[in-house]
Amino acid sequence: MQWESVAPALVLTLQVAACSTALVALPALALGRLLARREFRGRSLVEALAALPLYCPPTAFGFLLLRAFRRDGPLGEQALGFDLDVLLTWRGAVLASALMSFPLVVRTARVAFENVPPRLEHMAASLGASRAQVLWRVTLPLARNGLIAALLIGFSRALGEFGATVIVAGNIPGRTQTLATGIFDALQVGDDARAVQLAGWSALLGFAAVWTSEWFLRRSRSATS
Amino acid sequence: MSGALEFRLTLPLAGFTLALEHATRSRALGVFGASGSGKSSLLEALAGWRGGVRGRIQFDGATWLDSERGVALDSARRGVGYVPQDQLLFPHLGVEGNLRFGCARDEGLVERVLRVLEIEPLRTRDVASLSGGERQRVALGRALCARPRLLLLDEPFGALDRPLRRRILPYLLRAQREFGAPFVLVSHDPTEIAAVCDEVLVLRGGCVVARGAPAQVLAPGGELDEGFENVLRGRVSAVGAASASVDLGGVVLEVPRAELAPGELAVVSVRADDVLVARAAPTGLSARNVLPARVDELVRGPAARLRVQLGAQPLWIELTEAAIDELELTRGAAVFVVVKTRACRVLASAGAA
Amino acid sequence: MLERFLRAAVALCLSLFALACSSEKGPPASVQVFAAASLRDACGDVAELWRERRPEVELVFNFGSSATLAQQIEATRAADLFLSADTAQMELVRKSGAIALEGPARWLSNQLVVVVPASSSEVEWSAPSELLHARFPRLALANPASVPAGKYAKAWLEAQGSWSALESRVVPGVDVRAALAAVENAACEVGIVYSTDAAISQRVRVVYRVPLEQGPRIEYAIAATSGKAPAPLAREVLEHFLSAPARVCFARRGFLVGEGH
Repeated sequence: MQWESVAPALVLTLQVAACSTALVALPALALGRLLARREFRGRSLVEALAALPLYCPPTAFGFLLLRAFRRDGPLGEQALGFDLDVLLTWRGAVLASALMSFPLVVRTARVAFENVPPRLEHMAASLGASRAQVLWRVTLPLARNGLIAALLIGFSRALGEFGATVIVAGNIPGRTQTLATGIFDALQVGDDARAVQLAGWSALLGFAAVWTSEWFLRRSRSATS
Repeated sequence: MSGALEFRLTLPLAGFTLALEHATRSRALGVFGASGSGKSSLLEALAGWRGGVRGRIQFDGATWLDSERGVALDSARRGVGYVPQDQLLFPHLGVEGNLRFGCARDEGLVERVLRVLEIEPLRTRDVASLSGGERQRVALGRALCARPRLLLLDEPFGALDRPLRRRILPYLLRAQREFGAPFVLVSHDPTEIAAVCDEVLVLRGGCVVARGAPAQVLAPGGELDEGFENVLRGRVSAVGAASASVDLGGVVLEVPRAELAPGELAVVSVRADDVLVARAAPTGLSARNVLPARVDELVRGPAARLRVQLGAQPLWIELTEAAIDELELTRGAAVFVVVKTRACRVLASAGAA
Repeated sequence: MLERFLRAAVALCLSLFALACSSEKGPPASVQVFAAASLRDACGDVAELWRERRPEVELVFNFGSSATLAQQIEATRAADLFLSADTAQMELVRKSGAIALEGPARWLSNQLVVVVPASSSEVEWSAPSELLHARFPRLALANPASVPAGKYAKAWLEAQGSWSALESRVVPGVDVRAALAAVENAACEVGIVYSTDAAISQRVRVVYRVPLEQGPRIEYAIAATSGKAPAPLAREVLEHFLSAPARVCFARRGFLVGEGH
């Protein structure tokens, strides 16, 4: 196996997936908590919107991001006065992955929060804990394993993101070429050997991430008994 | 702290609406009723865990709920210590973590609670490894550590078998004495209520059907089908090798020794069907207790019974109608009451004052 | 215990993110070159030469169809150099105002060839009309609507009068290398690519070379565009691509240097 032909894509994929997960962590977990507990008007709308990246083709989202960040777009250099430099960079890849993995993290986090008995939170409150303290001392510790699983699932999704990434970040070897886009590129130039190696690494990483998340999910199910 | 609790509330439940009204200053209020009569919902309403409660709740001068004026304090601000039926111990914190949850820095309080409830040896244990009785004590301890102004106990004996229940009773009495907070106790066992509470509300279908002192309200025949147990309280005057003498206020009852010490307050139960009645003082009996008493009330019929005044306390005796006729028992008659020492059960003792 | 570890891990992730964001703020020691897919291998050779001369400046290549690249340049101004397979795409880039320094006209040219999978039993054709035969149900082209290689192929077929018959058989690829791959994998029985593409592949065989007078005028264009790198540096790279050693690289790969016809 030629390490040099695989390494840049492998490293970039891990970096992009890690950054993407870090980016969605707070908003997705917060939304998961909100959907788990509160009934509010417009809730089904929020749920549907949050789930959109699961059902719409990733290319549609790639297109959306492209339109948004182009020079003449609403978030482009001309509109903002400075260049966010998202398109055709690793930041664009992070954004695309973050968007596409968001609904999965929300969903899994929501289940994790739903598994925390609300009466335990009431008990904490009646013992004098403030809302923030209830969250920090009771809810999060009890939901912890499920939340880690949620982040790992988001990470797995980000590892394999292609459709939106290739449109927003392009396919520049060494700069924005991930394992997924690298496979596509290798196929295009007929480098089957490279394609096989990249696909192998993708499968390995994806498997490891999903297996670990399942482990945490199992622990979370047994913890809140 | 006056400890005055006043409430007038309605709460729609599945099947009926809870509509209750009461005002009390007692240190221990019992709530008695069958399952489904709304007892737990009342506690949750007092604790502030329930939405949909309308009316007024006031404790110790503070208004916890006033629907007309839109006042509804959340449970944290009520200072209520709620011990629910399922204890709700935090599974991710050990025993010590649970106890300390509501009290940040008060080491002295935590140590006292550990001592009084005898849960010191459980300190480092995992919640999942505790027995039913231990869980109850830890849950009670956790509530006490948070310095509650009012304790709400939902079936504190509920999950335990009979012998175990009686073991919790002393802790409850001790907690009552040591920590001072008044409490509201929900139970379907009249004996336990009688042992602990000075006042009881009887609920049925969401309404109060009787209220008053336990001895008055929880009488045989009415709400009960099991053998009625009389609950008597007195002070231990003397202690022998195998028995102890309990002064019921003019009348002394011999009870099993059961670790009683002189000067202690003892709570003793005697089953109503374990008592004999005689017109003349019988002699040559094995029973140590042959006590003079006066018949206060006579009830005929299939569940014939009579209530005598034993010292300052009422005692119910179940017997047959034929016996009443044969002994020519009437109201005001002087009789002798015979009780075996072993038929007296020491429920609890509260340490020397 | 685990909680503390997790908190540390989260903090680490966030700080890595922040660090990564800031790491690209230094002086750009890299020049972004957007080049047509057919130039892939030749550019590799030219980059080698550059590395010997100026190893501290990295050439970062973005290969694709000239049409896609032109759109990307329009949308982002990320390129410092644009190597296009036709002048139409360069015109688009010029219209968007991105060109900093124009290269010479007729910089590079190429030749169209018809290829079949290496496993096929075809022998060399005498006439292009063989294409119309029923044994070629699928024709691999770079997208004839936008990609230069496809447009050139279509122009040639139109001149031959066979476009209308063949149009429905076309399997469009995202660029010329995709069309080549389609023939390599025998997904298509025949394809039209550049001779330079056929040269780098062992899995296709050329059955017909389109004579230069018969085919359309293939004209590559090159220009320095206003991107992130400083203009003098981009100009230097442009000059490198136009230098004699670079021309040799292109010629060795089969490109027709400095000619059109």
